Amino acid sequence: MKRYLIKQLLLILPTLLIVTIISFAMIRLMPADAVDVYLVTHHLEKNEKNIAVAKERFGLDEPVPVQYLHWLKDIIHLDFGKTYSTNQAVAPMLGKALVKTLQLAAASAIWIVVVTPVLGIGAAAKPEGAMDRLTRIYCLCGTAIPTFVLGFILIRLFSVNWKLLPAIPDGSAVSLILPSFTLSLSHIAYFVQMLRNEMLENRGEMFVLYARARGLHEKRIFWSHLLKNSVQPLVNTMGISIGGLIAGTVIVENVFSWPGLGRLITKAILSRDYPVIQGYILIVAVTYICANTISDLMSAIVDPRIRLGKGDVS
Amino acid sequence: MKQLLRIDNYDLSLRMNGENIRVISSADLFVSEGEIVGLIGESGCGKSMLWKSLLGLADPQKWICSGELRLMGNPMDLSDRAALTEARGNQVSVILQDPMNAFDQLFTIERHFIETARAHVQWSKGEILKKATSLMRRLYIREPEKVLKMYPFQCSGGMLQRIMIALALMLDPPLLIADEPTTSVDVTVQREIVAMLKEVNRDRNTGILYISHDLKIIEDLADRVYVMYAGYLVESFPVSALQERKVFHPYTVKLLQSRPSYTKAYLPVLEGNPPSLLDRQAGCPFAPRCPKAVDACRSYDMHVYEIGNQHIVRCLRWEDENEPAQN
Repeated sequence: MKRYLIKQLLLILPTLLIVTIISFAMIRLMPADAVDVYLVTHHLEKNEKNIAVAKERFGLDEPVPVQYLHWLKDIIHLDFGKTYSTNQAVAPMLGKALVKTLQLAAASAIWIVVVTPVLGIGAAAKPEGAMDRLTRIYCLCGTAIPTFVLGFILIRLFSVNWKLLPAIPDGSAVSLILPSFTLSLSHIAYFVQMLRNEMLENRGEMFVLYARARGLHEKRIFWSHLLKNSVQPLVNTMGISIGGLIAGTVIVENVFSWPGLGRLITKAILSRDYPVIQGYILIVAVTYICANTISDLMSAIVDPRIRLGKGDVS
Repeated sequence: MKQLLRIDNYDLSLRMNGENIRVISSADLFVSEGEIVGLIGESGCGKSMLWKSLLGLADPQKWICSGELRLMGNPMDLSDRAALTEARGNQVSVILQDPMNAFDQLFTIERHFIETARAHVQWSKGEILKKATSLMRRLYIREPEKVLKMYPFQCSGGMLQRIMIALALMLDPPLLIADEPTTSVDVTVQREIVAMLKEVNRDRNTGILYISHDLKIIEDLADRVYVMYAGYLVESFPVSALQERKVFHPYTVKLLQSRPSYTKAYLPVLEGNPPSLLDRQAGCPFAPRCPKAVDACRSYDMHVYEIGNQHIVRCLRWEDENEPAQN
C-alpha cells in the first residue's frame, strides 16, 4: 500500500508539469494578441512606446522558454499576475472563488454519496419492483434535463411559489441546498444507474453462485459480496465526477448567482482577461489531478488487486 | 447403505416467453454413503442444472422443478428454500469448476472460511482457522497460515481448487458434489484433485457426485455411473460395466468409442449435436443421431429397463435386441 501511495503521488508531478506547459502554450496560441488586448482594455493608443511597455510588462521581450520559466516561477509562488481589466492580483480573486465553488461541490458530493446508495441498492434489491421503476424514471429525467432548466424550475417552485429556500446566496448553509442539488442531480442519476446495473450484473457471477452453494444467506451475499464488488467501479468513476463537479459549475453558478469559479471565468472570458483564464485552467487541471489521485487511492483501498498488484504471489 | 441424496421422477422446466421448456425429464438418481457416483454428459445436457436446482440454486422465477427429493433420507420440499440453504455447505458441499472466478476476489481466503462456517455453526474465529489450516495441510497446501491471509488472485488455479475442497470439507458434509472440478486446471493438477477426492471418499466415507464430461476420469474415480443426454438419464450402471464394455445404450456406446485409444486408427466421431432445448421432438432425443434408431424411437418415449445389477437403460431398442436372446 505504501509503495502504491508513493508511486501515485510521484506520478502527479510530471502530469502537473505537462498541464502548465499546455496552459502556458494555450494563451500564446489565442487568436488575440495579449498586447493588443492590453492596449484595448486600457484604452491606450497603439504606438511603438505603448507596445514596448506592454511587452515588458508581460515579459514578452524574452524568448518563449524563458518566458515559460518566469511564468512557472510565479505560479509556484502562487502569483497569477494581475487582471487586465481592474489591475487586481488574480490569485486572491481565484482563491476566494475557489472556496465558494468547493463549498458547492462538497455539498453536491454529499448529495451524491447519500442518495446514490439509497436509490441504487433499493432498485437492485428488487429488479422490476416499484422502487426500480421509479428510480429508472428518475434516472432518465435526471440525465435528460439540462442544468439551467432544472435550476429555474427549482427556483420557481422552492423560492418563488413555496418560499422555502433562498434562490440567491446569502452566506448561509441553507442557500447551498438548491444549487448543490441542481448540480448533483445528473451525477446521482448516472451513479444510481451504474450501481444498479453493476449489482444486477454481478448477481449472475460465479462468486455469487459459490457463496450460495456454501449456504450463505441471501442478505449476507447481497450486503457483503454483491455490494462490495459493485461499488468498486463506482469509486473509480467518482474521481472523474468530482473533477467534473468543480469544472462544471459554470451554468449552475450563473443560474443561482453563486460567486464561484464558474461565474468568475464567465466574466473573465467575456472581458478577455487572460491571466484569470490561465489561472482557472490551472486550478481546474490541478483539481482533476487531485480528484483522480484520490479516487485511485480509494480504489486501492476497496480493491486488493490494485493495492497488491494482480498475480503478485508473495 | 444410507442414501444421501435420492431423486425420483424429477422434472425441471425453464419458463420462457410463457412456455415451459423441459430441461430435465423424469430423472431417477441416488448417491449412497461412501460411494462415488459419476454423472457424465455433453455440455448443455443439464448436468449442472440438475444439482443447482436440487440445492435450490435455480431462480424460482425462471425454473420449475417437481418430483421427490430426499436428502440424508429425509424428504425435502423443493420449494423450501430456507431448509435447502441450511443444507448447502453443511450437509451437501459443492466444488465448482473455474475456482478463479468462484472465489470473491475482494475477500481473503480466511474470510471465505469464516463466512462459510458462520453460516452454519457457532465456532470461534480461532476454531475455524485451526480447522481450516489442518484441512489445508492435509490437502498438501504448504504454509496454510500464510495462504489464509492471501487473496484469491494471489493463488494459482490448482491451489484454489484444493482450497475449495478444504472449504467444502470444513463442516464434514456427508455428501460432496463436484461439478467438473478438473476442467480449468492442467493435467497434473487434475490427477492430484482426482486422487484427493478418492482419499476424502476413503477416509471420511463421504459420498461424492462427480459431474464431468471426461469419461476417463469417471472411469478412474466412480463406483457407479449415470449417463445423461439432453436432460434424460439414459443409462446407469456400475463402473465395471464400463470397463467390461457391457453398456447398452447407443449413446454410451458411442461415447466409449470416441475415446482416444492411442492406436493409429481414426477416432470415430459422434456426428451431430445434441438437440437444442427449443426444438425437442417427440420420442427419444438421441434418435436423430442414433445408428440403431427405428421409426418407433421417433414417436414413442423411451422405456426404462432394469437389465441387471444396478444397470438401468432407457431405450426402446433394448427389448428388440435382447428379448430373443433371453428366451
